[in-house]
Amino acid sequence: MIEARGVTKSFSTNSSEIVAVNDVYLAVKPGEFVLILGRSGSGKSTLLAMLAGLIRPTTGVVRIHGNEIGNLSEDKTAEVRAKEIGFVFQFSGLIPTITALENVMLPTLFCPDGPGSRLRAVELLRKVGLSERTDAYPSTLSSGEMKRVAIARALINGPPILIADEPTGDLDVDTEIEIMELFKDLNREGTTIVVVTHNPDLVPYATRTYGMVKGKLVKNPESFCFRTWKAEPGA
Amino acid sequence: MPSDKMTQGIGALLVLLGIIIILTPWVIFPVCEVHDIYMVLQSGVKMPMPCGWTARAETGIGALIVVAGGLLLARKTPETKQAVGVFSIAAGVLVILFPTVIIGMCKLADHPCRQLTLPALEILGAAVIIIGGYLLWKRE
Amino acid sequence: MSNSHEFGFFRLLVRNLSNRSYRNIATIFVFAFIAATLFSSQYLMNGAQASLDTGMSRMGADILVVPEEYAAAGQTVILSGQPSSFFFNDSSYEKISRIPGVAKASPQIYIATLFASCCAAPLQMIAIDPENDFTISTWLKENPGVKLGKDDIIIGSAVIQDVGNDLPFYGHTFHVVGILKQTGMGVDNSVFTRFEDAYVMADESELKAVKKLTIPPRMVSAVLVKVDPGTSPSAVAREIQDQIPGTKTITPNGLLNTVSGQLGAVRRLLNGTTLAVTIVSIPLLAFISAMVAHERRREIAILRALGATKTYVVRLMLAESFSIAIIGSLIGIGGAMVVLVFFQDFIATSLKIPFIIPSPLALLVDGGTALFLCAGIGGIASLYPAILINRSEPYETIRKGES
Repeated sequence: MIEARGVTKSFSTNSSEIVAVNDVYLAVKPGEFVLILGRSGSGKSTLLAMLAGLIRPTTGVVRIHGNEIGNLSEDKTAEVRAKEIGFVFQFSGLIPTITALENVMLPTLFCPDGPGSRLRAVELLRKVGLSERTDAYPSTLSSGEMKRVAIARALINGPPILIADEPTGDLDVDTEIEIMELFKDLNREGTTIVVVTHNPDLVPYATRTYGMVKGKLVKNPESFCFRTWKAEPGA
Repeated sequence: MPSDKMTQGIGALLVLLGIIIILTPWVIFPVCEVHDIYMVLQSGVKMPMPCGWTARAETGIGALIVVAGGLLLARKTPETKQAVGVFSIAAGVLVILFPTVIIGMCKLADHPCRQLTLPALEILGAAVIIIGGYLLWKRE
Repeated sequence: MSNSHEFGFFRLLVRNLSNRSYRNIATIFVFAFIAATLFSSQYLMNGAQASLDTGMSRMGADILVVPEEYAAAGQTVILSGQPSSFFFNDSSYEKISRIPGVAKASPQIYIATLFASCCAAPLQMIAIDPENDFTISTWLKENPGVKLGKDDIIIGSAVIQDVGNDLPFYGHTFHVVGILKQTGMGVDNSVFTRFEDAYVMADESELKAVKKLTIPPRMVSAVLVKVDPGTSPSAVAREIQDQIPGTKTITPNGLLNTVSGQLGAVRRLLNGTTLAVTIVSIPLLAFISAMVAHERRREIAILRALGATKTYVVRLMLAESFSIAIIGSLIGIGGAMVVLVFFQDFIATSLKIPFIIPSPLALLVDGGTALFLCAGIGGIASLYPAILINRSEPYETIRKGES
């Protein structure tokens, strides 16, 4: 469903060239729940952004449903994102001038024929435990609450693919479990999920796990001295 | 319903408007006698013209509007808002009526009292009426 | 309940405008100022033109003949009603009537009064023959119930009296029987009475008035002339000047040129101000717009990351800009109208232009023009920042914002 072939991303600063993602090959099949573990600065967020079409790779190819998104115009890519991908930013990224409910409904503006509606938005906020805060503005929400609104927002258009950058970053343990259970339910219903995190406790939820170290994707993260975690048999 | 802050703001605005109404015919857009234009009687006595009397009346009304604004600053209850609202509407009407109907201004269109003082008082009176109306409307 | 219906473009627009009110107030103020300036200059020009059109038609005559040395005073009487007294031999009046092309001639006497009512400022009294006079004959026809009888006066609109009031001039009491319509010109400051009443007033003035008034017998101040249909007024005017030495003729065209000259100066001043305001405002607005767009780049990047196309973002920013421009313009035009209408006498006197309030249609056109121009300025000022913002890749902006 999503494929990255030989993808590299480098950023030039005043003094040097930084290679954030180095020659990554990744193929995510429909219905998979892929987890990418890595420390901050490992390049996992950049990789995620390229998978979602938010930035173009310096070299290499990203395909969604077999279509190379590098060949599409910015506007066409935006359309694909609106329909196909639900993205959760690392910092939640809510619009400050609209309420929580309106933030959740925002993606429906760009996918008018999709399943998104006010009713669905209310239901999603209930699922993430925020039914009391629909009319709250982001400035009055805690960072954990903002993250939950962002997750609901990513799901409003019923996208087949959900990509999340540190979805449980600001959440307490109980809420973290709630959110991951939600992701697991979605995955069971058929949504393909790609999550990057630095938290190895989330590994058991995934069907496949990778590690990211200094821009390179590794298949066996345990050999890079991560904290011990409980791997599922056959992972 | 307007917050306390808003009510305070309106009270301050009324005080300000009252002060401006007092100052308008004497300082801002002075009436004829401030320009040393008097009506001279046969006996040689200088008498203020209607604009002068209007100015004195506006001073009185302006002072009352200042008091009303002060009252609103002191107490922000719905009853006070209602009272000040009704009073402001009446006072604003008087501010307009004094120079037009009740006392009047000079009879020549190119006198400063007619060209400047009168329109200024009309606008100020209208502003006081609008504020009074708003207070009545949002008194709860 | 903040949202009882689906969330759309318009709702997002309204939210963005209302929840950023402090920042938008500065921009609204700029637009209000521009709109007020644009509207005011159009308004004053239209009002002056309206006054000229009305005043000219009210002048009634095709030619006004005055003594040569008082030509300027004659113009002033017509234009602003600044009082004058002058005379020339009324035998000239008979000569004028006999000149070919002259259909009708009517004499007038100009008397500067000492004061009117309570206020120590003079009016222009004009003595006429009501049966023959052109200036008020149109008005008298429109008000058939009014007759200018013994000791009656008809006053101009700027003399603030009611019908039925008494006004003393030179110790002689006159009764107000009619009030002329506003023209924005000299007639507004004048009062009209009959010749015989003026002579009586002059005779009695030695005893009754503060100062004696002398009206030399068989002398008039001016002669109004109507030419035969199809005849050129300027040709007849030239003939009059040639045949009767010591006279000067004033024609509506001539007056128009004089006033246009004055108006031209005012028009240049107003247009210059408008241009200056516009030229200064566009960069200012562009700067504010760029600043705001820069602050919102992260938000815009998020919108694009969520699926908004570049066109959508530009549409949103332009819509916000137009909305602010329109709100500001309406406030500016409304405020300008209040000041202009209430203070119109002062403004017209200060600028020394004839003035009456333009027709509602003209007001609508003026307001619409100012609104349209402001919206255009708003659109232009926000276009470049909008395009610039769209150039960067969304995620880079978001990442930069993160750190």
